[in-house]
Amino acid sequence: MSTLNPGNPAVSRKVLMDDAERLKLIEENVRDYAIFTVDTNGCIASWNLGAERILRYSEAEINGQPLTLLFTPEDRAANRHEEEMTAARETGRAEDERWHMRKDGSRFWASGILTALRDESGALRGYAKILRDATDRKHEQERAVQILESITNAFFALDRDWRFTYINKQAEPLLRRSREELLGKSVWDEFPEAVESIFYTAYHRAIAEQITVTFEEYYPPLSTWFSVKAYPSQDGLSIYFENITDRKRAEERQRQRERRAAFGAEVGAALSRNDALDMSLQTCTEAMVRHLDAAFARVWTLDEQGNVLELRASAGLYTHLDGPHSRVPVGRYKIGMIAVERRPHLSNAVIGDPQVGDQEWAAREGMVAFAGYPLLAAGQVVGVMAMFARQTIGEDTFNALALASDALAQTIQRKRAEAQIQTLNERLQRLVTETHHRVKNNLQVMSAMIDLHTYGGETTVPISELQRISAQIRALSSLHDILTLSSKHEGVVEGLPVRPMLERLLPMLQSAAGEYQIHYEVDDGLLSVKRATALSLLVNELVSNALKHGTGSVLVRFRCDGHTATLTVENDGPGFPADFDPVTAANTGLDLIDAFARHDLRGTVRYTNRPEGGARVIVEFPLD
Amino acid sequence: MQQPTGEVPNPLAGKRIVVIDDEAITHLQLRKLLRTVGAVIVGEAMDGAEGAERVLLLQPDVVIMDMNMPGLNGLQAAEQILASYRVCIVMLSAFAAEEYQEQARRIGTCGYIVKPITGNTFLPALQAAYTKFQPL
Repeated sequence: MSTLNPGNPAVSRKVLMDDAERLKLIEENVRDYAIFTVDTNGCIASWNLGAERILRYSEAEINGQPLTLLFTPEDRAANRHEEEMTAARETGRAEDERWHMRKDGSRFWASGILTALRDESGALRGYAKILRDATDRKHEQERAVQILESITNAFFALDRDWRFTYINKQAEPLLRRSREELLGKSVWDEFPEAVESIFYTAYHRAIAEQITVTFEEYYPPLSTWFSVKAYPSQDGLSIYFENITDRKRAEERQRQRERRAAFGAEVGAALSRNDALDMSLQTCTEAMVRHLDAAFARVWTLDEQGNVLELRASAGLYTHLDGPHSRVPVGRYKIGMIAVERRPHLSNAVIGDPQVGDQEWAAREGMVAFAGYPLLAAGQVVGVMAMFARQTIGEDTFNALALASDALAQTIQRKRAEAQIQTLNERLQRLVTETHHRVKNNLQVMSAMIDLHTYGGETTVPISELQRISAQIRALSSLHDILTLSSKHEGVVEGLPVRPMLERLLPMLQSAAGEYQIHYEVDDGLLSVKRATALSLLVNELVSNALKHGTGSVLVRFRCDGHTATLTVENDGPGFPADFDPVTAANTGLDLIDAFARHDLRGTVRYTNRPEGGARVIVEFPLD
Repeated sequence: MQQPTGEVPNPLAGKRIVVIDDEAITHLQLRKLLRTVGAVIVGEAMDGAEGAERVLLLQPDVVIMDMNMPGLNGLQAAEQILASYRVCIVMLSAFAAEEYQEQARRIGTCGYIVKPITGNTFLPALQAAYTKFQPL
C-alpha cells in the first residue's frame, strides 16, 4: 500500500493516482488473494478477480452487499466483523484467521488482514481486506496437531526465542502445567531450574548446530527422569519427550539387585575360601564399599574374654586398624552397644542420631546412613559389622547386610573352632612326638641296663639280674602312669610331681619285697620328666640294694627343703663294712646309683651307717 | 649274647673316643661296650656345647653324639665341630625318621644309629661308620 505525502499536494495526488492505477493492476492480476474494499457502512465497494475466484461471487453480485455475507452465522452472531473493523480503525490493521463462507455456503479457512483506509485529513473512508484461502494449510496443521495429540510422546514446540508455541496434551501432566499457562512464555522463565542443566545446553546445541539431540536426564523439581529428542527447525525447536522414571527406577532396582547379588557372591566366596580370617573379613568390608556404596565399612571380633571388640578389617574412607576404635569395650560407643543389645542399629538419618556421638564429623564427611549388625553365632555375639554411607540405605541393602552378617558370624565361629582344633592338633602332635621320644629313651635305658648287667662275655645270666631289670621296668612303668595322668590335664608334661610317682613306685617294690616292709615318708616336689625318670630308677636301685643287703624293714624318705631335695634310703642290718669305699667297690649297682644321682640329678651321694645299725644312703640334689 | 671276637678286624682298637649324651646310663653302657673293642673314651659330656668344646680340645678319632640334648643339640654341635675339625661323628638318636638322617648326612656326620642301642648292633655299626670314614 502507498503512503500519503501531506507536504506536497501536487506530488501527493500524482503519487495517489499512480498508486491507484498500480493497485488496480495488482488487484486484477492477483488471483491467489482476494482483495476487496468495504465502505464505512460495512458494505463491499470493490472486488478483484482473486476474490471472485475464492469467494465465488462476481463483482456485480457482491458490490453493495454487507461484509457480514462472507462471515459464518456464528461469527456474525458474535459480531466478529465489527470487532475486526474496530481493531482496524483503532490500530490501523487487524489480522485474523477464521472460517468464511463462499457464495454456495461452503466454508474455507481464510487468513487475512483488514486495513483502515483514511483520506488526507485522516477521515475514515473505508477498509481494504486482503485474504487468502488457507484451508489446506489449516488442514495440514490440524492433521499435524491431530498426530501430535494422538502420539504417546509428550511434545512441545519452542520458537527461536524459546517461547512455547505448541504443547500437546500428553506434555501437560509431565510438565505439571497447563498449555494455557505456558503458551507464549519462555521455557527458561517457566522452568528456571533447567537453566545451565543438561536440558539447557542440549537445546542450545541443537539450535546452534542444527542437529538433533537425544538425551536422558533427571529433572529434580519434577522428580522425573525424561528421555528427550529435540529436532531443530527454522522456527525453533520441536521436542519429543517421555517420562522414563519408572524405567530408570526399574533399571536402578535391577542394578541394585545385581550389585547386591555381586556383594553376596563376593562375600560368599571370601568366606568359603580357606583364607586367614583377617583376609576374609577384609574382603567383606571391601565388598561393602564396592557393591553397597559404603563410605567405609568395618568388622570387629570379640576377644576371647568377651570384653573388647577388636577391629579386624576396615575398608573405604578409613583402612587403618589402629586408633580409638581399634579396641572397643563392650557397651561403649554405638559399636559396643550393638554387641550389648544384640540387635542391629540402622539409621538413614545419622545427623541427629544420638548413638552417633561425633555429629560434627558426620556432618563434615556428609554421612547420611549407618548400618551396624551384631555378629551372632549360635546365639553368642562373636563381633560387630558396621558401615557408614553418604546416601540413604535401602531396605534391600539392609537385608543383604543382615545375610552377610550371619555368614560372617558363622565364619568367625568356624575359623575360631578350626584354630582351636589346629592348636589341639599341634599340642597332640607335640604330645605324641614327646611320648614316642620318652618311650624310645626308656627303651634305651632298658637296653643300657641289659647291656650293663649282661654284656661282659657271659654266656648265662643269673635270675637275680633279670629280676633287677624287671624291677627297673616296673619303675619306668610307674613313671608312665603318672605321665599319663598328667598328660590328661596338661597336654605336654613339663614337670612331674614326685610324691604321686613314689607313692606308686614304692608299693610296687613292696610287692616284690616278701616279708620285708618298706616304709616311706614323701614330700612333694616337681622334677623334669628326665630327672624324675632318674629319681625313679635311683629309688628302685637303692631300695633293691637295701632289701638285698638288709635284714628287716627299709625306710625311704624324700624331703624337699627350698630348692634342695634329699632322698634317704636306709635299712636294718649290718650296714656298710667299715672299709667300704664306693669308688673302689665299684660295681654295676653303684655305677648306676652314681650315674643317676650325680649326673642325671646333678646331686651328691653319701654312704653311711645308722647309729642304731643298718645302712643309710643319702642323696642330695637341687630341685628344678 | 654274641660278642665281637678277636678274629674280626677291629678298626676301633686303640681309637680315642668322646661320648656326648645327656643320659648318664648311656655313658655307662658305652663305656662298657667300647671297652670290649679296645677303644678308649678320652672325654665325656652331657650336652652339646660342652661336648663340642671337649672334642675340639681333645681331637679324638671318633665322636659319639646324641641328637636330642638341652641347649646346643647334637646336629648343631656336630656342625660346630666339623667346621674346624674333620672327625668321624656318629649320631645317636631316638628319631628314626629319614629326614633327620638326611640332615645329619648333609652336615657331614658319618653314621646314624637309632636308639635303643645294644652291643650286638651298635659296635658293628660304629665300626662300619669309622671304616667308611677313614679313606676320605
